[in-house]
Amino acid sequence: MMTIRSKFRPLITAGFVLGVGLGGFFDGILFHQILQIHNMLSNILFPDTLAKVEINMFWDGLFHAFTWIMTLFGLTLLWKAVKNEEVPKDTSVLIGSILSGFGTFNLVEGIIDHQILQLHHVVQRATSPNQLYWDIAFLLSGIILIIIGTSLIKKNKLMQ
Amino acid sequence: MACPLCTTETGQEVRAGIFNDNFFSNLLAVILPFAVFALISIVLYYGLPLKKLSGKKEEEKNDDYTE
Repeated sequence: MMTIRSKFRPLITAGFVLGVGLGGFFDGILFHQILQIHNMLSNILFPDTLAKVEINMFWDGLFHAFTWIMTLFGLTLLWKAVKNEEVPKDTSVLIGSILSGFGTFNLVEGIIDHQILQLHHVVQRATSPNQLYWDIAFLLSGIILIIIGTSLIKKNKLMQ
Repeated sequence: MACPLCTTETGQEVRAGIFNDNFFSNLLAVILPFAVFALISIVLYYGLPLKKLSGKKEEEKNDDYTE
């Protein structure tokens, strides 16, 4: 028998996966392409020649491809959740899940790519101390989004 | 012209910069966060396996009491 909380799981997972995808696209479009403050491997292969820019662009493209797959997977899960009559449809739960996924993207990508593997930093062109501040700000944005998202999910009376 | 498929000198340099000894380690590095996201999504959908196990044990205990 499904409990009320577990009934929300398909909707929460769908929103979360969609949020991860949207977070990835936000990062890729704003930071990699519009502002061009970092690329996927810009800490390993600084893009100061045309060839290095192109190599970074290849890995940016691969990152976007995985982000696209996540978004498609999120849409599929959302469609399944919408079609399932047992799943309660709640806007605040869905938006909260999307924000949580977005925040998780920033947190996980920030820890793995910026801190552990050091593939790139948020602002690659800044001096080292500034790089750390931007990296920390990126991680904090993730934590804040997760807190807002979780509180929105818990706003639903059935989830309390 | 410079692209991974271009036959120009820069194109060759780009290809050499992508498909080298570091290709699979770079690929793994790009995939790693997505593997973590997939894992979190599975836990969100199905719940923690440990929690399920302890839940089953609780059920078994309750069955023992009722017998």
